[in-house]
Amino acid sequence: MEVVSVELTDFRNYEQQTIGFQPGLNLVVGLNGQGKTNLLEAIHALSVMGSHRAGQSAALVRHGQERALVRADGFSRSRPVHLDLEVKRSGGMRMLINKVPLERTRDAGTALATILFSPEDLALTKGGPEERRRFLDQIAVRLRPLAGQQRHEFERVLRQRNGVLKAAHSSATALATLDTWDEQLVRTGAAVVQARLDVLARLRPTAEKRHAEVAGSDRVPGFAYLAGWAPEIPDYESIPGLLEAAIKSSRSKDVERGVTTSGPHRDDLEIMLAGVEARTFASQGEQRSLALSLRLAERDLVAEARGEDPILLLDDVFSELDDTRREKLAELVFSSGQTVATATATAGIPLDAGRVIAVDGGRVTRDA
Amino acid sequence: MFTGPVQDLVEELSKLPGIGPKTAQRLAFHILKTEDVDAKRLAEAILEVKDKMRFCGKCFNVSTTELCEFCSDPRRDATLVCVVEEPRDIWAIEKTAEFRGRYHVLGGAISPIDGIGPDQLHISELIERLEPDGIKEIIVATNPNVEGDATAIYIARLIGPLGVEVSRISSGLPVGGDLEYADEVTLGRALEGRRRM
Ligand SMILES: Nc1ncnc2c1ncn2[C@@H]1O[C@H](COP(=O)(O)OP(=O)(O)OP(=O)(O)O)[C@@H](O)[C@H]1O
Ligand SMILES: [Mg+2]
Ligand SMILES: [Zn+2]
Repeated sequence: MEVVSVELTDFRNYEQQTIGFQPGLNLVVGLNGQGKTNLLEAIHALSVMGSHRAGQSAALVRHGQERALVRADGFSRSRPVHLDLEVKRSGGMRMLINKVPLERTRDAGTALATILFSPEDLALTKGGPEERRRFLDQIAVRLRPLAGQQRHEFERVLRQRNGVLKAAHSSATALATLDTWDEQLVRTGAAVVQARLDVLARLRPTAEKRHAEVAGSDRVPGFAYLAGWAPEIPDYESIPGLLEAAIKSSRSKDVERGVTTSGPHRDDLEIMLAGVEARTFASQGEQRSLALSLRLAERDLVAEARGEDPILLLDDVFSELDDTRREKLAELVFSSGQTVATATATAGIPLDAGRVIAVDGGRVTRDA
Repeated sequence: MFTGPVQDLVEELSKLPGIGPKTAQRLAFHILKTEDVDAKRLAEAILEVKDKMRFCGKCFNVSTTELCEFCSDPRRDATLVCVVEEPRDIWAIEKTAEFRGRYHVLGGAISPIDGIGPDQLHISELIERLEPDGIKEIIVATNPNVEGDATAIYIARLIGPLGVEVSRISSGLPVGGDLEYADEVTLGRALEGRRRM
C-alpha cells in the first residue's frame, strides 16, 4: 500500500499544502520546528484516527482555526483509495473512506495502515512496563480485533475488583462478590496474557532478525515475558490455573492494601542486550536500535497479516544512529514498501533513490 | 446561577440520570417557555406515575397492582424465572413471545465502583421466592458486559447449590443478516461461545 498525495488544510502549522509521495523512500527534511513531524503525524492519523503525541485532537488544528482536514489519495491492495479526515477543535474526528463515513474508530486502519517510529518510542526500552504492555496489546488488536475487547473487559474487571477491595475497609459485606470478580479476573486476564504471548512468539524471531540487520549480530537481544504471578508459563492451558492460584494467595495482601497487587496489569516485556537488561545497561543508541527493531518487527507482522506492506513512518530515526547503523537502516528501508522519514539534513543519510521533500514553516519549498 | 423557582427546577432536573447541569438548564428554560397546559400535563404525568404505578411485590416489575401482570397470570409457568436488570428488559424479552415463565427484576447489576453490591439489588428477594413459588429453573438475562456477567456468576454460585438449574442467555450473532457483515468482535465472541452439534 502507499500514499500518493496528501493535502493538509489547517493541520498543525500547515495552512494549505499538497504533498506528493513516491513509492519507496521519501525523505522530509527541514530545520527544527518547520513541520516534519507534523506531516508524519497527519499520515499516521489517517491510519489510527488519533495522534501519537497529542492527548487531545484539538492540538492538531492550526491555532485560530476551527477544523483541520487531511485528504489523501493512495493505493490499498492495488486499488485506489481516497481518505478524508476531519478534526474539529471542539473535539472528535471523522473519517471517510472513499466518501463512505467510517462507523468505528477501530476500523480506521482498514484502508491505510502505518507503522510509526518516533523519538517517543525510546520509552519502549527505557520507559516503564506499561509502555511495553501497551505495545504488545496494540499489536494484538491489529492482528485480532477481539483482543481489544478482551483487554477492555480485563481493565473493567480490574477496576471493579479494586472497587470491592477499597470498599472492604468500610463495609463488612463488600467482600461478598470478591470470588465473582476473581473468577472474571482469571478469565479475562488469561485471555490478555495469551494474546500477549501470542504476539511475542511471532514478534521475537522477527525482532531478533531486524536487530541483527540494523545493529549487527555481535550483541544479541533477548525478549521475554515477565509475569510476577508466575515464574514460568509452560503453555497457554496453564495460564488460568497459575493466575487463579496467584490471585488467591495474594488476597489478604490485596484486601489490606485495597488494590489488586498481582496480575497481568503488572506484567512486563523484558528486553535484554548481550545478556543484561537493556533498560539499565544499554547505551542510548543501543536502546534506540532495540526499540526500532521492535517497531520493524511489528511492521513485518502487520505486513504478513495483511498480505501487503504497511507505510513506514520514521521520525528523526537517523540522528542517533552511527554511520553503519544508518546505512543498514537505509538499505532495509528500501526493501520495505513505502517509507516516509524525517531528518534535519540529507547529509550523512545514504540516499540513492528517494524523493526529498523540504519543509520550511509549514510549506513545502522543494519537492524532487 | 439563577434564583428562585428556576434554580429549584434546574436542581431537580439535574438529579435525573444522564442529565448534567447544562442539559438541566436547557430543559428548565424550555419548560419556562412552554404553554401552561403542556407544563401542567408534564407535572400531572409525573404525579400520576408516582400515584398509580408501583413495583410488583414479588418480582419488582412496574405495575398498577400489588402483583404485576406476569406474576398474577396463572398461564405463566411459575417454576421458570427469567432474571433481568431493569423492567424495560422484560419488555424486550416479551416482544420475542418465546418466554412463558415469570420474571425477577434485580434493579441493576453488581458494580462495586458505583457502590452497587448484592444488598443493593433484589437478590435476597429472589432467594426467598425459590421455595414458595416452586422455582425449578432460572435464566439469567443480565446485560452481556462485565457487570452483567459478574451478577450472573454471583447468582449462579448462590442458587446453584440449592438444586435450582441456572443458565445464562448467550450473546451471539444478529439473525437474518449475512455473516460477512457481522462486526469482528461479535463474530469472534460467537465463535468462542460455539455449541457442539
Ligand atoms: N496547532 C498548531 N497550530 C499552529 N502551529 C503548530 C500547531 N501545533 C504545532 N505547531 C507548530 O508546528 C511547528 C513544527 O512542529 P514539528 O513538530 O512538525 O517540527 P519538526 O519539523 O518535526 O521539528 P524537529 O526537527 O525539532 O523535530 C512547531 O514550531 C509548532 O509550534
Ligand atoms: Mg520533529
Ligand atoms: Zn411481578
